Amino acid sequence: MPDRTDINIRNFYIFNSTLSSKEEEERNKILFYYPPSIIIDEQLKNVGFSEAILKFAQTFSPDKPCETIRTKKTRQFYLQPEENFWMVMTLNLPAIKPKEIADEAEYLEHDVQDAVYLAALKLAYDMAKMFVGTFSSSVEGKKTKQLKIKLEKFYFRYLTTLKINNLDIMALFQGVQYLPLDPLRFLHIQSSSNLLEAEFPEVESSIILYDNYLVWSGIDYSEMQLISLYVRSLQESSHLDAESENLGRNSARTTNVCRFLTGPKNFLDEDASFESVPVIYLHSSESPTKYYLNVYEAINFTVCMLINEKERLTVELFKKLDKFLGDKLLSLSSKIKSVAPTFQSLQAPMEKFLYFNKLNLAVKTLTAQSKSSLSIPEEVMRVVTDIAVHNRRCCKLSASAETVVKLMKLSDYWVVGKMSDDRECYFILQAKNAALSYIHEEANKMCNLCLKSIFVHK
Amino acid sequence: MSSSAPGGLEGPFKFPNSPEPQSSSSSFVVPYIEEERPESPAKHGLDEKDFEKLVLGSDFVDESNVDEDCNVAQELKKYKYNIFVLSSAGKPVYSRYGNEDKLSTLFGVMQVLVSFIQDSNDVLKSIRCNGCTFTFLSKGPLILVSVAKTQQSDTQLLSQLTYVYNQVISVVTLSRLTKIFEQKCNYDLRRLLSGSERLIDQLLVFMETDYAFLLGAVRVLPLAPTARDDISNIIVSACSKIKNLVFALLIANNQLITLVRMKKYELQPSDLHLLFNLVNSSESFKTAESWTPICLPLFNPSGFLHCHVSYLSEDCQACLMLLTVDHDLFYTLSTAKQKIVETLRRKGSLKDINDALALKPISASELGIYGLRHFMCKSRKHPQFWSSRVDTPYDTPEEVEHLMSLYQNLHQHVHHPTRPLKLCYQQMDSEIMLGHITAEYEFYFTFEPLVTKSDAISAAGRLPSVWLKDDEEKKKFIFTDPTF
Repeated sequence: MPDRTDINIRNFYIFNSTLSSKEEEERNKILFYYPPSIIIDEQLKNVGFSEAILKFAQTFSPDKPCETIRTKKTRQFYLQPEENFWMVMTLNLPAIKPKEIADEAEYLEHDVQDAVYLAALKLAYDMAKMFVGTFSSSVEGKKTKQLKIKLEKFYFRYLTTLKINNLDIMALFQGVQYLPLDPLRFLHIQSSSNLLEAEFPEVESSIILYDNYLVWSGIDYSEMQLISLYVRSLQESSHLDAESENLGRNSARTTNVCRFLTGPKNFLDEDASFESVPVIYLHSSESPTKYYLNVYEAINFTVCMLINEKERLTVELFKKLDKFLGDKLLSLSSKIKSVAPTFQSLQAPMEKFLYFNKLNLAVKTLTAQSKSSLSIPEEVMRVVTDIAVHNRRCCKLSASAETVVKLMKLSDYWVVGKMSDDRECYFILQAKNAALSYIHEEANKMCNLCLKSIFVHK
Repeated sequence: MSSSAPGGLEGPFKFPNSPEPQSSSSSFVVPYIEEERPESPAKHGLDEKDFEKLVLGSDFVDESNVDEDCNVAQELKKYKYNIFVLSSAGKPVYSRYGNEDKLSTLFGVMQVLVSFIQDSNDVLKSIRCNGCTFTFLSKGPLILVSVAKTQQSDTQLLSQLTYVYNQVISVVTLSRLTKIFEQKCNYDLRRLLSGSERLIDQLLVFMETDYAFLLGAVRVLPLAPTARDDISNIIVSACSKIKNLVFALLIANNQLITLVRMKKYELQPSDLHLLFNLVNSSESFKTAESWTPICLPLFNPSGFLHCHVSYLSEDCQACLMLLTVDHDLFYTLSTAKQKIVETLRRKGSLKDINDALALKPISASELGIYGLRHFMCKSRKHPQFWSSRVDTPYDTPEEVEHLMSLYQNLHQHVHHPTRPLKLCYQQMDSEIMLGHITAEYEFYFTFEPLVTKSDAISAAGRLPSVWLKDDEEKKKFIFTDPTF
């Protein structure tokens, strides 16, 4: 059997050409370079190539010079997040290595879809912006050196945890699943959040998640999205840690534990440090503000609290919060348990669907969150992405677009993609010998079933 | 730079020296002694220092005439589809727009980009940004680059570059090209291509406007099968005794009437397109019979065929091409042609051809299918296709271009290199596009945007039976395969 090598990050760098005016200071323009083992000359060479490409492309396309560069073996993605700053991510394409050494490897370039990785690169920036602030604010404040250190600290961890192989259309959405609740239950939760902010004036705003479904958010959509993505990764890694600690014991997620995911582990220690509480920048208000991000977990609930950095964190505060939230969430959970999660209960064995609303970043899906239970072949998921890219392009000029396709190789599969305004939905159907009209009806049925109250152009 | 082709006939390729292309390239030693083109001040094949210079911020322009080059670069921005050909040393060969000499720095940069990637044992394929794609093709001693402000796929753009490369090969042959650059890597290929640039110009227009290139097929002139057989038989009987005649084809108005071939050999659609392009680009064929060398890259990239080209007669504008490997056959073929025309006339075939040419292809609206604006059909067994007349609302050049881009988009989804589709339905703001692959045909439809899905489906299902009734199918596609 020939070996398949997976996609992997060849390099990832951030540069700003205006930071070096003289030849001897050339290395100043590189703000971050991964992998760090690459010698500086090589780094400069690659950055120089990127600069040359950008300059060349500018001759023809001055506003947006470059997004991707394809070579036989690699794919390079470009993002200009702020003026003069460029982020470049180069991937080694997945390949099938030949049996004979003399044969050339076959590079699977079509398995790598630009839109997915451009979205991943954008997210990599947005995350960095949340944790280190905008690049230009650091540079303008003559803190370029500090920026470099911060970027290094942030990206080394980020890149090593980035599951570059598992990215698919969901990377395009980076959305949040909302918990569907009736008004009464929703009000219960909202009032708890209000109470929290009233009791603890330090807490400026909060986000409440239940089982990774968003229930309540008091902040801007895009920042809520980033925080919930971060919290999820935090939970995953902390559960991994817990599992490795409890090796041999039943390490199923112990849901009755109430604890701070970020914050002091031990309330008895009066001098506990608060280093594990991350500080984040929120940019939605007029001037970027720094906040402590406190995350508290209890019985499937996750509460994220934003406390202005100017406040002083004390063990006393954490103790009080623990007491308040522990009691509150316990009573809430009994109210909510009976309704969630609702989607799995829907009767739709053969069809899978995906829904995304760009306005509130809501995602609904029947395709389950975890990859393992996702029984859809990768090729089909890639077709969904192809359709998403096409529909989005069409919708730049008009209100709606719809695409229906039947696959050639996996010929049982049909994919329907509808887009209307900023809402997108995709249905994956498996049907032997079906006619397009049948698929059309099925998709409409699914639409009515899953997205009852949402308007979609027919 | 003007001398005649053998036989004193004007061919489209003018060889400054006595051309003996049939001896292929073995005896060919860049013999041209002519006034050197003034070397442009910019160097070609930039070394590392130049690369650094670029990177350090000097512009892509010669310092000697900065203003002028800036203007040239400014000029280039406005074009939708540009093509550059250069030697692997960075020497300009062809630019669709603008004077190559004035773009020499730009050519230099393109060469540097390609060779930078080459140094790491890789191949630069394309640079993409929102709305603009640079496609690179490095083949032998040539580098071809296109700059397209379209939404075409990499596969489509690469295929167009390959056509341009093939067009160059068809003028000089691959072996000669390789040899020239082996002996002098800084050779200015424009000397050899001089007079042939218009073939590339014409080819680019042809590719932008004719669906034949997108579909990889040739258009057939609809004719009753018996009428077509008559024509083929007449050509076969007039030519069967001629040794070394490889192909004989009759074309009219970019449509194939018949192709007769030597049993051993086949003619690929892309070679056929080059022959169509040759005829399209040369007005002189209309006035006199010509004898011209042409290399068909898929047939044999290293040698020339000799092509006898002539229009049948004043009153029948079909063009007969007789291709042979023998460079002494002009008079034999000329006689054969006379015979063919006489017989065609006597048997009424000229009238058949004229009648078929006078008949405009039907438009989709004439088929009486509600909401159908345009459609195309390609045979999967034979690389042939038929398309309806482009009609309202596609009656301005912009609309025609828009329709082409819709089909390009549909085609790239249906024929995705790794995820091909059997059916693709695209509902958009101003059109519905539908592509459907059946066992024998590929169908591509354009509908009004307000047609319901079920109407579109049923129309698409019904159309083949209406439009490809037994007789019609045989008229629109050539299923016979006559040989000498």
